Amino acid sequence: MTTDGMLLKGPTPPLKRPHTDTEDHQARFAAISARTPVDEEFRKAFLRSKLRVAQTHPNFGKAARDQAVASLVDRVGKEAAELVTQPRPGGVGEGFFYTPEFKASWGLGTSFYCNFVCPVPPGGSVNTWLYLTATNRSGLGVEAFVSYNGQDNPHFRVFDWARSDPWQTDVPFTSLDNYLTTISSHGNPYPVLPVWNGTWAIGSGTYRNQALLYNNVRLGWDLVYQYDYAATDSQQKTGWIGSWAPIVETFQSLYANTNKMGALDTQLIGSDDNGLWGTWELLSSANSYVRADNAGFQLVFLDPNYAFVVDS
Amino acid sequence: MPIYPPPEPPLIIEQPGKPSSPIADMRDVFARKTPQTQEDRTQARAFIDAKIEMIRHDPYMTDAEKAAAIADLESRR
Repeated sequence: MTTDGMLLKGPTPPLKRPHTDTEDHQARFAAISARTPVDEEFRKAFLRSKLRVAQTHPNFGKAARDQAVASLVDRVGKEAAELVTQPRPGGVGEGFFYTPEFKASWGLGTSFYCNFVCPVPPGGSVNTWLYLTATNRSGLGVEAFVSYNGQDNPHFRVFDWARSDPWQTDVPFTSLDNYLTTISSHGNPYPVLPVWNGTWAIGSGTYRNQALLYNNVRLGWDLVYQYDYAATDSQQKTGWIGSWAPIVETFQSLYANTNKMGALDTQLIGSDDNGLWGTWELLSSANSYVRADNAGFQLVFLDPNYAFVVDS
Repeated sequence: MPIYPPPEPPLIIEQPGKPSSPIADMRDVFARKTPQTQEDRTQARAFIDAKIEMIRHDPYMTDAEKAAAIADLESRR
């Protein structure tokens, strides 16, 4: 087959397939395509996916990512740039999940502690929700977490998985002066909120959820939330809820230029089936694994698996 | 079987050494003073929906595990 006006012949057909002549079916395929409804969602998803690949390429530096995105926007127009700013909930910027074995390896109680590294404001491109959150392994425990909404003042919130009215404590950082502090890690100071929460049996078939904050003025823990409820051992130990240790929970497809955030000194303790508590131990890589969806975050450091700090 | 609360976590706080004080009950200060609103219910659904998306994007879970976890969460919406 030759192309009109050109001397260069096209390639021969691939081998290993019987072949005689090439037939021209362009018109038929064009007609079928014309009758097929345009799937705008598919087109957007396709474009969004390409942009995400460019924006979050793990082997590209920031400048290379920007250049890749710019070239895509240049090719497909303004629509591409708008797509990347749309909300995309349910991502994990960085963080740890408990292994299934460790998630269920406690008897009558489990408790969790960490220092959330929580800059104010989060900085960069954060323009909707962003959570620094964790569970204590129990299926009906609490998430006692840092909640960002854009660059507004963050809140400390408690979401109780045991309740039908799960939103409980909700306190802006402006009211947490006694609890916010600074600690150093890897030679740098970080603003942190020390959070402790626990779930344990207080009677046959009755559990207690607690959330506490460390008061840096009086040097002691303040109980800020408690709830007692009926539950079974199976409810506490099966299912997916309770599987996440500290994570950066994301709601955007891409983050850029955010301040350093994460979690330090993650520790857990469990009681045995007789109610005897063990000792606090750092979360280890044997008991957890790392999840990082490509959302633009980059590790500043990761101590396996009890601490991490990311920026973007 | 009732058990005692867990012992306090060993803090690493950069403050002058001083024995940790007993736990103080500050629930009255932190407790929400208003009943749940429609907005709370909407936010709770969004909170759970985000977890469902987290499951959908999980690179480690099998399809069966995802289906079970999503069904559990949907029952709580």
